[in-house]
Amino acid sequence: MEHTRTIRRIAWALLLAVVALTALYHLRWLPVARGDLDPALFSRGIATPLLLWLNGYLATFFNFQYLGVMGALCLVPLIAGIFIWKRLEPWQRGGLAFVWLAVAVIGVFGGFNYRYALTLQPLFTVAGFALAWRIFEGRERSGYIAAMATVCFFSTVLAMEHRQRTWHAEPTFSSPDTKPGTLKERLDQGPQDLDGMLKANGVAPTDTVLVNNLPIWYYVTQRPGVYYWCGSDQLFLADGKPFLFRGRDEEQVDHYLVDSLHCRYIFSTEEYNGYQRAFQDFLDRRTDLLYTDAHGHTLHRVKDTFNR
Amino acid sequence: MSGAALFVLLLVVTNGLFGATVAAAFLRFNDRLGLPAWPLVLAGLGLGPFGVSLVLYYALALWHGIPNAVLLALPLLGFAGLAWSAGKGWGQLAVLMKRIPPLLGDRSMWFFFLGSAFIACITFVFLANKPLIDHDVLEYAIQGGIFLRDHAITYQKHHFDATSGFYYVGLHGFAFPLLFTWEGLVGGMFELRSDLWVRSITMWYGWLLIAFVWSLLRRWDRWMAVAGGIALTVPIGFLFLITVYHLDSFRIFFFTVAFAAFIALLQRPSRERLVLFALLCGAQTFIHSIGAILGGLLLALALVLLSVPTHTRARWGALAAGIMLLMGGVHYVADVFLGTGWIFQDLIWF
Repeated sequence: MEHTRTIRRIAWALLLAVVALTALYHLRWLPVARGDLDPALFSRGIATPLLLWLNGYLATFFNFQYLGVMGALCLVPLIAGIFIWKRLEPWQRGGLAFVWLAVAVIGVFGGFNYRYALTLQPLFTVAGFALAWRIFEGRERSGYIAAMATVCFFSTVLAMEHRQRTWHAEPTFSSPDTKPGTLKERLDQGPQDLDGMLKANGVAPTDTVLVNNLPIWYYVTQRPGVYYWCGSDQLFLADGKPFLFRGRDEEQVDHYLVDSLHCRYIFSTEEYNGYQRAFQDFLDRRTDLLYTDAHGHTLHRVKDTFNR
Repeated sequence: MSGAALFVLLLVVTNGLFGATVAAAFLRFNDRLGLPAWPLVLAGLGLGPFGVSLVLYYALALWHGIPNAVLLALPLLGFAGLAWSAGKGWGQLAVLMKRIPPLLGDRSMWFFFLGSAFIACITFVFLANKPLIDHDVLEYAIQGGIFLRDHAITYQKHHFDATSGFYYVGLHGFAFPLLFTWEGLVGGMFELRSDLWVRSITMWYGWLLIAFVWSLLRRWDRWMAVAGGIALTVPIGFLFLITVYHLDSFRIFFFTVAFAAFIALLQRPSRERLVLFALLCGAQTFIHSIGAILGGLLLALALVLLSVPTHTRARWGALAAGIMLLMGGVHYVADVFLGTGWIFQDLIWF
């Protein structure tokens, strides 16, 4: 009886601890402005050593920003399960062992991406509530279950409030819920009338265009493209993924694009252009900007030198 | 026919009829499975669109140049055969359907119905206002279109399309791109190009996932299902899961049902439960590489922890592995040995 009462106290303490943790996370640890932090790491929420653990390796439990608190609530029972392994039923052992293995796989391969960490959330939700049902009885059970849902809601309110603060503090923050314009304009950030824009800028239907990581090119046009991602400086060609800038100076890149790839135009976005200094410099010095749309899509043309 | 009419046709046939067929087939065997009916029905509903992908995969991989009419007929014939074999499962499904209207009298279910209506509204708003613009989903869409144009699925070191210069960087099973193939195929019959139905897949599996979790929690208590539904759906990540066109709701739904089948198998081992587990685990394998890795772990753990004699364990292991391969796991074997090398190469993160 005393043992059961202790477990219930621990469960309440755990819930309070999670409330404190999610508050600290959103109000203290998660930055609202990029400052000196690395842009890519900031956008992924792993720009500090603490956040690398919370939103990276242990994101399945602690990425409160996107996943809520169910993972954190399940962490202590999952640890306790290891210590009472011999007393568990085979299905409980299976579930426990699998969750720990899955946490390791997700943490190693892509915990920084909340989409992967989200994988275990339905499982944590069922397990967390089932456990609460087992631990508590009567009115206290109803109270605890209601409190769990309330804490989940509270954590989301903190996350929304954090988004608002980020929006006000960080000029580069961009999201459909904070952009101006009609709903359609906010949700449709793709290039409008791509074919019309290309035609208006003198790009013939047979002209090959260097496409910087914008697959929409291939979805809405029937025009030839050379697929490229400046973030990794790789071209995606029939026989492999060679680098474009590595091992070449700007003039060599210019020659390679025009003479080997037969590519005089570059379709990209202002945001992507900044992912690699050499690419941005090449655009600035060796191309003319033909077009920019409201969503930041850009069309550049390699400068015509010596009538090549 | 308009894009909206095509959407309704595909929704009714693929999600509704095909899904109900698998659900009825599962229910037919439920006297031996001994599982709660609603979660089983929801798993079956999920397998409707997935089953189409699987049929298209084998058809396109094994018969290069397959005519459109044959490609269209194969899923229809396959599901018609399954519908015929479901037998008494249809009666059980009808009984379950008749239990839905009385649930309106249960106030805890109002949250579920209101939530479902809300998701339907969100779906309508997003389908009307948000086209396919995001990177990953466009990759899948283009590759699905290439499968249809070429009438073939081939394995090669580089998924390069010489016609357009497109290079498919995805490494996952083809279940999701093949949904685009399906909509393109059916739309092509009416000379229509639309992606409305595939875009709605994100919301469809998001809703199925909520319903599945709800149906499990309701077995303990109806109000706990309400609390659990809130806990699952309020995080921002879940909102994105059901609104950003992607394969994640498709993937996580099958991961969740596969895990539930894994627990059910360990609770009461039987050959029928093993087959169900392997079917669902194989499905999540064919959708995403992370599903392939986690699916392998689930199978290995099941075999280690099953309380059955050693020779049974060996036979069941071979059976489950075979089913998982047939459900799409074979893609990864082919990709490792004949194609890109899967994850055994230098990965590029976009």
